[in-house]
Amino acid sequence: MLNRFRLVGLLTLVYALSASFADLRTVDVQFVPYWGDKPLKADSVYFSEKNGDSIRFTQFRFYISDFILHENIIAGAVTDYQLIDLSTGPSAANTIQYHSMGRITEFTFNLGIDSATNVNGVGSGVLDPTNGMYWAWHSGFINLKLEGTSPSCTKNRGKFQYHLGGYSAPYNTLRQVKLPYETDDEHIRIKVDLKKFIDGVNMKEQAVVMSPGADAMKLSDNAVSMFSILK
Amino acid sequence: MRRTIVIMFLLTLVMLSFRSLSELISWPSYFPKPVYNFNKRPLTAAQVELGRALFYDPVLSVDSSTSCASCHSPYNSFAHTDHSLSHGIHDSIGTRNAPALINLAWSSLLMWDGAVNHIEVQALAPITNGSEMGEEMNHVVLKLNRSSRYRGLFFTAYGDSVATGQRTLLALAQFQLSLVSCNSKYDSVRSGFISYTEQEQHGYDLFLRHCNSCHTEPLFTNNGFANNGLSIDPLLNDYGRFRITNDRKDSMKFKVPTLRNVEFTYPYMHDGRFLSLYDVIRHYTSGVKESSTLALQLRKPVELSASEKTDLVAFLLTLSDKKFIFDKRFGPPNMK
Ligand code: HEC
Ligand code: HEC
Repeated sequence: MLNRFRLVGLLTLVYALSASFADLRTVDVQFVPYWGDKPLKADSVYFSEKNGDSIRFTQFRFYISDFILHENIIAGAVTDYQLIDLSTGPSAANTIQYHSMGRITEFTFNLGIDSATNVNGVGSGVLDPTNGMYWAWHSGFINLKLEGTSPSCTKNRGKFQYHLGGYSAPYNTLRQVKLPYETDDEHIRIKVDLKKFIDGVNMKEQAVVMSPGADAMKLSDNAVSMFSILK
Repeated sequence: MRRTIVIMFLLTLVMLSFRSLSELISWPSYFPKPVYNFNKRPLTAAQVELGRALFYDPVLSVDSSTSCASCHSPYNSFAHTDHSLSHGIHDSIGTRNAPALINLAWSSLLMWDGAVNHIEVQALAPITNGSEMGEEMNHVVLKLNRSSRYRGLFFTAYGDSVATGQRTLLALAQFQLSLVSCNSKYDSVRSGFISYTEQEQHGYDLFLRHCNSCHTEPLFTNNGFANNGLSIDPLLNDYGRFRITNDRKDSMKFKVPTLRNVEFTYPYMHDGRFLSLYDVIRHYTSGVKESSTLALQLRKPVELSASEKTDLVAFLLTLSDKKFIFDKRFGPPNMK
């Protein structure tokens, strides 16, 4: 993963080099919540055959940053932090502008907030603690928040709460998501399949994960598997 | 004439030996570099003033009963003395003793277990803690935006009257960063203006031998974590830093507190178990409990005669900074 400063520097250079002879293009990105092969509907009940859980989601939000389009080199990027809220349906991310010199082959983004920003004091905008994505009792951002209800969660009065975060070794939960880019479309839609996440947790035993540690690490790996490009 | 010259000379020396960012905050040259990055976020008078208003205002708690100052009183160096465990809303009792709030610009990790990594985000912990203030940050911001007094204060501080979470927390941090204590007798002796009594000097020597490795001068803390041999209270079961790192090596380690103004910050330790400095010293000489994480320095008991104990206490009292305690800039703001 690139250090943010180096990334910004590199981008400036790439822009300067390519601006003169490359086309300026834009790509819009939209995140779409799914359950298996169907778009997720708010307030509906879903069933995971794998562990026999029936589930209703009430909240699903996560941070992304360093959204990068790769041709052979980095073609374009949005480094800003973005808070994507899929609680009630699809959500758009910032449009990416880039100078194309060929064909995009891949794009990547970070899921979560990097450690430097985690120790940098209070943030504004999407990083403002009033967004409810910051831990009060133990400093640090919540990278991803997924909450809902399921009769399987008998140990937590029928509710599940997965708040994934933690920025320091050995429990750094920042993850990079890499997706192959196999389209010329300027509108990319990213499927976020909650079934993949839910199938990987034992809700009966583990209804709540709310602190940094081994469980948050495992679930963060799980979270990466949710993302793919919709064709 | 000669006298005036000498006085002028001394005054210049004093001026030269202080580092200052503005009239808001200054510290002696023998202090280390602050941990807080004042270049990135300089203190401003208006933000400190807003922070002071917030610090003393129970609006930050859910039932408007409790302010930061309810637990951090200026007359106790911003610690709390009536209770060993702090009391919050609905008379609920917390699990720890409120520490002094001084020289926080030099503190890297906050709270007894280091749970908080930056002064700017610290206030989220008490504001949202059910047994302290029980509020939610967005509700606090909503209340502040409804108040014409605060809209004015936010406007003066930020050039915009809208309260946000960030602006609220930043102002609270700014006020607390301005709480610098550096005018004790220790400081006057260190600057060469006066000297210790023989007893204090002897106490200082004992302090350097037995205590300074953790309560390191001039801040009287090394900002580290240590197990100083307190037994676990079975009602609280507080294992300190272990809760944060999940690392066995951190079991029973707590943040080394500053001893500046220790005269005013009783009761002592993370759970307020000791009422006097003599109790504390007795702990170090005969109460230290063995365990695998006990600090190496304390594995052999500290040996002090009765008169040495008195001398050590005499030295600890030279860390009292009355000028700080009665500084009007730090007390409750005048409400208009
Ligand atoms: C109910 C009592 C109570 C209230 C109200 C309260 N505090 Fe505290 N404060 C404490 C206790 C207890 C601790 C130690 C907590 C711990 O270590 O877990 C503490 C710790 C702190 C620390 C860390 C100091 C250090 O050196 O580690 C700061 C800073 C602080 N409080 C500021 C505030 C501010 C600002 C407010 C108001 C927004 C506030 N407190 C409200 C009881 C309180
Ligand atoms: C190995 C490091 C270490 C040494 C050496 C040490 N202390 Fe401490 N001291 C601590 C720690 C850690 C605490 C907080 C412990 C807790 O509350 O769990 C503490 C707490 C205190 C407190 C309570 C302060 C407050 O505001 O609650 C006093 C007073 C104190 N020590 C005095 C001394 C004196 C006097 C000596 C020398 C005889 C000494 N200490 C030696 C680590 C040390």
